[in-house]
Amino acid sequence: MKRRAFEALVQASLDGTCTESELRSLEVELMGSEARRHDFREAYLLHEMLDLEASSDSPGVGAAKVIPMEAILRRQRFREFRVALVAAAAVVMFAAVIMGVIHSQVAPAPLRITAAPHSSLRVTDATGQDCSLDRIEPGARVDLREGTLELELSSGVRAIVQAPTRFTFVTPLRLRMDAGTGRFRVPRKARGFTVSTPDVDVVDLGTDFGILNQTGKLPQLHVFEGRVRISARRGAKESAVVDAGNAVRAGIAGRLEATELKSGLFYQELPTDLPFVRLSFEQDEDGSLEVEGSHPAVSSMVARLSEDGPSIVDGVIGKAAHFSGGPTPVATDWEGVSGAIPRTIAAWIRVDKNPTDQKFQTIAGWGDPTIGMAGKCELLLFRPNPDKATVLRLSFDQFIFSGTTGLADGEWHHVAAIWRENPDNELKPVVQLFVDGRRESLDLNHSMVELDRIHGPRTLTHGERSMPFVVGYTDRPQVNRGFHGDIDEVMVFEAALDETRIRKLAIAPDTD
Amino acid sequence: MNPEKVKSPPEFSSKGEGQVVILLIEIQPELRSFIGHLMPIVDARADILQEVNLLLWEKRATFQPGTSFRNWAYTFARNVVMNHQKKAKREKRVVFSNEMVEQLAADFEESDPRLAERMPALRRCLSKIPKEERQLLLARYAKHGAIEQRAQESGRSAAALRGVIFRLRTALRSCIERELRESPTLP
Repeated sequence: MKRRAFEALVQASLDGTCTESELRSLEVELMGSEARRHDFREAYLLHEMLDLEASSDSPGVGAAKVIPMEAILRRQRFREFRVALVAAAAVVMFAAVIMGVIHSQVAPAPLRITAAPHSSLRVTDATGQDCSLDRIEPGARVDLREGTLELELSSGVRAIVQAPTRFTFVTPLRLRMDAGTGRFRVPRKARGFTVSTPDVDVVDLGTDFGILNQTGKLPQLHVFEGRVRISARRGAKESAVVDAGNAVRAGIAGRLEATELKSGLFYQELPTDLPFVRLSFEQDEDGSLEVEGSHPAVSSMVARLSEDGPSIVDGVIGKAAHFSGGPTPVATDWEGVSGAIPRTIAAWIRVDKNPTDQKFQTIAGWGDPTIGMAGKCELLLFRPNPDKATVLRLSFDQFIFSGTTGLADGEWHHVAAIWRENPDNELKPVVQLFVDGRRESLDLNHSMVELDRIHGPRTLTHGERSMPFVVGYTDRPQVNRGFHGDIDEVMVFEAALDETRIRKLAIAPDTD
Repeated sequence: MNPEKVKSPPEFSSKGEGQVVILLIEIQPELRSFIGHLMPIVDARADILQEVNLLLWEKRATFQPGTSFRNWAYTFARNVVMNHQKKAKREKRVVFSNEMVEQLAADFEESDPRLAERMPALRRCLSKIPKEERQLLLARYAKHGAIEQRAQESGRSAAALRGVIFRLRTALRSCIERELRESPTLP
């Protein structure tokens, strides 16, 4: 074989583009010649050196600069000192072992966590003891119940994860995520960083990607930059390398299928508050409704008025939406809070003083309202019969919680409902209703608070019959559910707010 | 999480662990090259490296100070590659024969390359390449898809740019060998 032909095979091998016949030809050449094997080896060594050089931060080539390998050599001169230092924290330094770079003589924390305000989490070490967020060692468990975290791994990986997320920090190059949602930025030096979930292994090949692994949803991988390999761990155990701009999900049979890439599922920066969406009914210049909040979906969310309404009127703050009981919702393209994620729904409402015989009036809701599926989440008004007052109700899954304060008095009231799982009893979730910042007593005659759950996720946001987040009207599970009155400052949090925060919202709607 | 994986083996001192850590740091680039040239499947290389690193860390107590750490590490790496070979063959993927892997691994261990010592030579050789071509070459390593992007920007075909890279790699190898012969010591 001529030298150029051999060189072509070597470089095809480097780039991973060898066909089987080419590889066999290459093997014949290599087996027959020590010189060829030398050239082959040297090609790979150069490949690695170029990779090192390209990953150096310095913009110039040939200029005086510090690169990892030279830094390593220089460190040898301080070997005694470093041995003592490293030995004191050998496990910590393992992060640097794998990434191959140590930029300072102070061992970095294997994992450091910064929590967004109001986040609720617990971090325990490998022995189950609570530990500090500043320095988390391999083996630690992180249980983020509400809010958002920024993770900084000593391998250089940075991630933003949002509740609910539970993971084990295995090494600076591996997380085991039981459940959760997160976006990961992986530098070249940390290629091979792996996130394992019960259903898939996701291996970074130098990139920026997001993982959605929530109860009731098929695990999804969204790749925003570079390439990532995903391998199903069950069934057919399909595996694929996913390029930037694509997303896949793993089915229950272990097969991978394409899905829509959605950057709005993930945070790119740590937010300054719990995740929330707010509709204040202020209009942009083009007539569309403003959407505010700290939720990642806000950046791409669209809210619009129906053709026949509602009308925009003066509200508690700025403008509000006025509904006349018709099928005229404010519709959005946000799927809402899914599964068993904790949540708060809050709004200012002014219900017409002349009571209607209407049994239900939707304030805001989303999910699958099909009777029997019980996959919706809705804050509404409920009037059991014309002799009774119109009260607040939270309806989701098979649970119904009805309040006692009459609200159809033509005055503005702040209403809110929170829900979170009860870790001690799945069948008795923590639910609270609020009117004007005060806890409501529940009307147990018109509530269903203890049921055997026979269905899957508590809010179905991705089914064929699921509806996105709407305000003021839903046509299911029955018609004639339109709101009569004004609605303002609708807020949905992916967290169960405490009473202090609810009271604050009830005084003046804000996000502080 | 198995907490045993992050605990020190009782017979291994913290000072000894520190030495292993340093040696592991130093050998990473060579390990990547070692694994890379044995395993033609590009996507598998990162996994194998990670597996080797974890294995070396778990087995650190078996390393005897005073012996060749590199040979010790390459032995584990060779075994991990061989295990992946079996799996790849089951999946009908294209890999070298076991004999080929054994021969290449033995050659590599015998040559015992030290990339840190070669980096200055690489720099000198890179400085001799026209700036535009140098940037193209490094871009190919810095960012996935860089060739296609450069092709779009420059109006040249991606195949033509790959041809440039082919030529540069070959020229750089010759240049580095020459540099190492003429200036074998570190600056």
